[in-house]
Amino acid sequence: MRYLSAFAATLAGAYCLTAGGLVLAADTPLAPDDWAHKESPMLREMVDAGQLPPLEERLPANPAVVQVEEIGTFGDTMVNGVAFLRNEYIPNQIAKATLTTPTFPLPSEGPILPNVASGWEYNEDGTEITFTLREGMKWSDGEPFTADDIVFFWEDILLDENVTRTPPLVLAAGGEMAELEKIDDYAIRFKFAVPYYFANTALATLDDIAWPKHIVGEMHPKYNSEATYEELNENLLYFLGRGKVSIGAWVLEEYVPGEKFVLVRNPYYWKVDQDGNQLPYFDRVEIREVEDRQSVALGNVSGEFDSDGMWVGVQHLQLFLSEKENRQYDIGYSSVAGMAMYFNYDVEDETVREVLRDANFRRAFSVAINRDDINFVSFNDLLTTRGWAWSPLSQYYDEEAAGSYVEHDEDRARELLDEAGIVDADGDGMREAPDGSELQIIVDVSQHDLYVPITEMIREQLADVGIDLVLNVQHQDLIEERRLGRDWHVHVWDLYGTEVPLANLSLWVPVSDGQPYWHQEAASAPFSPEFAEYSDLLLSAPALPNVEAKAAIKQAGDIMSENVFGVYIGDYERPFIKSDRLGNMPDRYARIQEFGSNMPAFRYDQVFGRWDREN
Amino acid sequence: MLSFVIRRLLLMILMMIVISMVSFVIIQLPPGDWVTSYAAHLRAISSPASEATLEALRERYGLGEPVWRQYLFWVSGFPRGDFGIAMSMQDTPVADLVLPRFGMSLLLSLSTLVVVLGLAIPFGIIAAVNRNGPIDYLFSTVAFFALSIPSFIVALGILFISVFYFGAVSIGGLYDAQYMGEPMNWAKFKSTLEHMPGPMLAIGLGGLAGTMRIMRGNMLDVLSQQFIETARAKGLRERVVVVKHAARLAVNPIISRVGIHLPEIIGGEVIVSVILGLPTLGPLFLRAVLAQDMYLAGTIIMLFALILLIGNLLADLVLAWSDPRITYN
Repeated sequence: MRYLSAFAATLAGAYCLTAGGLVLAADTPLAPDDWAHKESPMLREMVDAGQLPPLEERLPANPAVVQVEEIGTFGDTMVNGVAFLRNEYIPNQIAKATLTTPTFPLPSEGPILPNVASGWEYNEDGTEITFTLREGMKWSDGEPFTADDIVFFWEDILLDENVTRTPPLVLAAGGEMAELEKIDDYAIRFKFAVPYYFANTALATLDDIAWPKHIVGEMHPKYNSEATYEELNENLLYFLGRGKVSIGAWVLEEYVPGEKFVLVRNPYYWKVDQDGNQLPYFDRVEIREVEDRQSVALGNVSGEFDSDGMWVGVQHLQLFLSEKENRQYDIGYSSVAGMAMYFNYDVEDETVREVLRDANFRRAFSVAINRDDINFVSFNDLLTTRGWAWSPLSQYYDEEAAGSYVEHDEDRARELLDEAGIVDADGDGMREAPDGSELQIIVDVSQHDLYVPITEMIREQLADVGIDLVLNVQHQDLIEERRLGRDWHVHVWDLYGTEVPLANLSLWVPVSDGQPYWHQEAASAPFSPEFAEYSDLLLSAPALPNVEAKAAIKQAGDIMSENVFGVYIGDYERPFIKSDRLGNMPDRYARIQEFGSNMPAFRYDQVFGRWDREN
Repeated sequence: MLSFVIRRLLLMILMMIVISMVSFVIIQLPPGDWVTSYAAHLRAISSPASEATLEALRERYGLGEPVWRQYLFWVSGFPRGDFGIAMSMQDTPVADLVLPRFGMSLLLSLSTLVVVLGLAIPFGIIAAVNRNGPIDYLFSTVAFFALSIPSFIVALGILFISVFYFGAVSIGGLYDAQYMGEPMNWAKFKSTLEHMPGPMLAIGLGGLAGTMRIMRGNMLDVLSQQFIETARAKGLRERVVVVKHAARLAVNPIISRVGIHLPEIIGGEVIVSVILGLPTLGPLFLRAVLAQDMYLAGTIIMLFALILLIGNLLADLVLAWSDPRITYN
């Protein structure tokens, strides 16, 4: 898709302003008279009945202003369906409030923006970042939201060893966890051991930044002598109280186990649209649990659910297209990373290890794959092929790197294998390892409705050049257990982390021992000089100012694509579905895992209903 | 008779203890535990949890303990009505999750059973009386089709037709969405009754056809016996011969078959409920097993077993009542 490279070009502009070391970002402040203080009729009634202070007192002095495409109308309920287990993740995500936020709806189209923080500033050498909070901002129960709540969450929840939460690795720079300091009620400062210009982006990936001290503090032994850590740990769940007081757009109203979650609007939400209407537009969000992906797709087609971008996919495109005429919905597309094959460079089997460590073998593996066939069969022609390179949605995208060892070429694959000494010694049509022993590569793949058939195609394509792949298809839990060990050869899963590599460096290089999981010895014994160079580049990047960091990461990207550290099939345009009644829904977004899997910078708080639901 | 019932009840308790042990152990057999499956799930939705968090969870649920200790911990709560907590359902007590759904399962299974028997027996009689006539052929043809279509296909068919031909918005459920989470009341009950025919059709169709065929066969056997000839010779009306003399005898094997029928219906109910999104025990059970949520899964297995044992006992008692030749002592 050509427009992806256009996004990459705009990135260059957006990120340039962070080049000078000192960075300042801030909302345009809005004078109180500029907006009319419009609120949902539901809240207006409560104000009139004296149950709630007027809007002026509920909003912070400088509410975040969201430029919406269309000014919405208040009221009604948005209903979404979810499948799979443990869906507390979804309501949590729908009402999340990060300190900073990526550009909506495509993070690659613009810089990191203020959110809960109204602005931030780096110090001279990039070792400190100071965030300004919004004065007068309140929790959903009306209590003030201040720096104390963030410091409480940091010190008494994340850093307290008796509490089962750990500080986010993305805030560790130079091997040390950041320090947090309260400047005043409305300013906090993170201090890092080394310069860390990634900090403002890092904060956009953290869903949880503060918990209500006035509620959770009561359960904490430090503030309440009657409280115990055991009880506190049990109460950490979103459902057991915490979700009912938040700074998100909606708070939990009701949970019927196995059936639904109901979220109701936060009367103190601190965002307004450009006309001064307090967001969100929907009074309520209802999340209904169904049994599987197919039910979510069907419910969205029938109109029981309003939208979905998580459970539906290419496999439902036919259904969406065929029913589109009869129903009131539209299909959008999100750019999603597809299937990757990870090589285990420390696999116990010595023969296999030597083969996997040979760059020519990996190159041959990649070019032996016919990605166009896979696109045609499994992706309805919505796939954009890519090699082991940074994403077109990242600021490190390089077209040449993305295209290396991607073109299907069986002859080239055979040449490369010959060069690697992997030849058919006994004439049975299958190649043997350089030491003459039989070569069988085991590919671990979970029971996935898309990846299993693709891996089967790859097995056939590799067999054409004489490489014998054996598929090990098992339940995801079991594949996951194997992945954490040393016994596997090749592991199949989503490509994860090529959009914002610095957010999850341990997926790529040994930030600490045992990482990345596909090269657990990397810290002490990198398998090749190229890997060592790539590893050094990436490990140094977070401490560099943006321009230099970008150059280092791009260089690392060139190394990993040239040496095919893994095999990637490509990104695809994944269809999602949205009811015609929803206003302000984008037609296109990108699913960048670091910024939330269901809602990639996806703001349901600005979505509204053009008409009320009938059921 | 009374001593028979008491003996059976005591045996049932023993049986339930064995079932609780076996089911608890079987759920634990797959490698990994709830935390493993939770970790895999978090990874699937791209928010992997740290090892420390997972270890803490394991400790909290006592998953590191030996199986027998976990089992004792679980069963020790039974007398208090405490069946453990459902880890996969945000720590909701199992009893709170299972009880409302148990009622729904019972309602659905039993009403399906009643309707199946209520239709299969007369249809079987009619087919037998019109042996090799057009009605018999019609019934038999339909029955063979119904027998050979698996219940999940019927459920999918119902869903497909209602959504794509009739443009239904709802994609399943046993009552309107507005009643979710409400305690049972008249409006919800009415809504439930309105939603029941579809699931009942899917669950009961196969059993209906099978039972009808058996009833037909039994009737044909009985109708060819001499006492029927005698009854006719006495000049009784055909209707009396068929209903009072033949059917009463032919129905006994069906009654003893209810004991087999109930597990079929419960098994079918699980699959159908998953497809039609019914708030019964079935989908909860499937989720619990997939998530390795052992307390929840174990409790549901025990409830299923309990329904079976009670069903069998009732079938035996009804048989004794309907067939005076059978006595228990």
